[in-house]
Amino acid sequence: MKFQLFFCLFFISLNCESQAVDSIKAKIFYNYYYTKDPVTKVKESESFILAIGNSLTKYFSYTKYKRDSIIEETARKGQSFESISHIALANSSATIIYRDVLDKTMSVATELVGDKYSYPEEFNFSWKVMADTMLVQGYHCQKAVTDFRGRQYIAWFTSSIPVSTGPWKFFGLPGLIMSVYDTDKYFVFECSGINFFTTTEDIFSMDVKGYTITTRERYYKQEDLYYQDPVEYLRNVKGYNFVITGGPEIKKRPAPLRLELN
Amino acid sequence: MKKIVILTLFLFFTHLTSFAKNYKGLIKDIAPVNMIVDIHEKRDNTKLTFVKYVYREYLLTCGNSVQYFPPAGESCTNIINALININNSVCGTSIPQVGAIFCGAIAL
Repeated sequence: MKFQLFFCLFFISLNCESQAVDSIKAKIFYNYYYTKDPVTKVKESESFILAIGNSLTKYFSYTKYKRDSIIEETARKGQSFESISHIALANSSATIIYRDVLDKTMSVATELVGDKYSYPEEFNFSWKVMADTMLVQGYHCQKAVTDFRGRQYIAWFTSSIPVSTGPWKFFGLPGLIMSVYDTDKYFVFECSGINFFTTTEDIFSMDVKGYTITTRERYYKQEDLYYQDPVEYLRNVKGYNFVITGGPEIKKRPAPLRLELN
Repeated sequence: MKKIVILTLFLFFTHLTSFAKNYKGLIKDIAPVNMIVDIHEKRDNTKLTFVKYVYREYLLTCGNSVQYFPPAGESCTNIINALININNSVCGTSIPQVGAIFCGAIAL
């Protein structure tokens, strides 16, 4: 019982390290379909949430959020992990994107092999709004196109929700981006639902504790190093002592496609 | 002929919990692995073999087996996360890390 109390207090104190700076007014749910390999063109998918406050937005993996919540709940109840192992071992992204609308700043918090990195972003989109219209999730949307870091994107935004934001790093249109994809359709973001909040739920500002502050270029350089030879990266950079003792031949995989080419 | 026990990460998650249930109060979140193994090796029961190998050899989700030797005193969370990293590197998966609460439950 004492241990239980200790752990409850411990985790409450951990949560207090992050400070709420805004309250969520709406949560936008997106399904993200992405292609890792342009040859096989196999699509994978993940769910994300865009939490919108008065001045802050936070974009993060709903798949990971659900997974962590289930692990936490299972651990707190002292139940067996057997029934949730398929959830605990599911693929998902640890990247969180924060944008401060008032300060016009954006920061990306991400992880590479368990190491946490954060880097600031500074850019603007140059959108060209077109006449085409389409219904997305029942909302009347208008088409817009832009070029961003090596890819051309088509977005559908709705003026019915007048917030200049969208999934991933997208923003800058006179309404919420409901759907956006690159012209190759390697990366597709589609709104799957919207929750407007009548009660308040806090958006927590980024807790920089444990993060290495870097730049996007340096982070990608580190990521490239990992994808050149992931197994050797663990041995040489992380210092892991392990031996592969059996199983199928480990095939060299190409680095997964990136949204940003430059 | 030595018995080699290869466990999947799936089994790792499962058995770590049942292992913990047998040793309530003995295992701390930051207990060194060798200590955990020592505790178990003192017991004369059928689970001895399993525990002797549980922190040594694993079958990854893509079918490769690996032997992992954590540094002395490595925490439970770091060991699980290292195995997740090895799985991601060898198998090309993107399994995120687990937090301390995963092992916190073991200390209860």
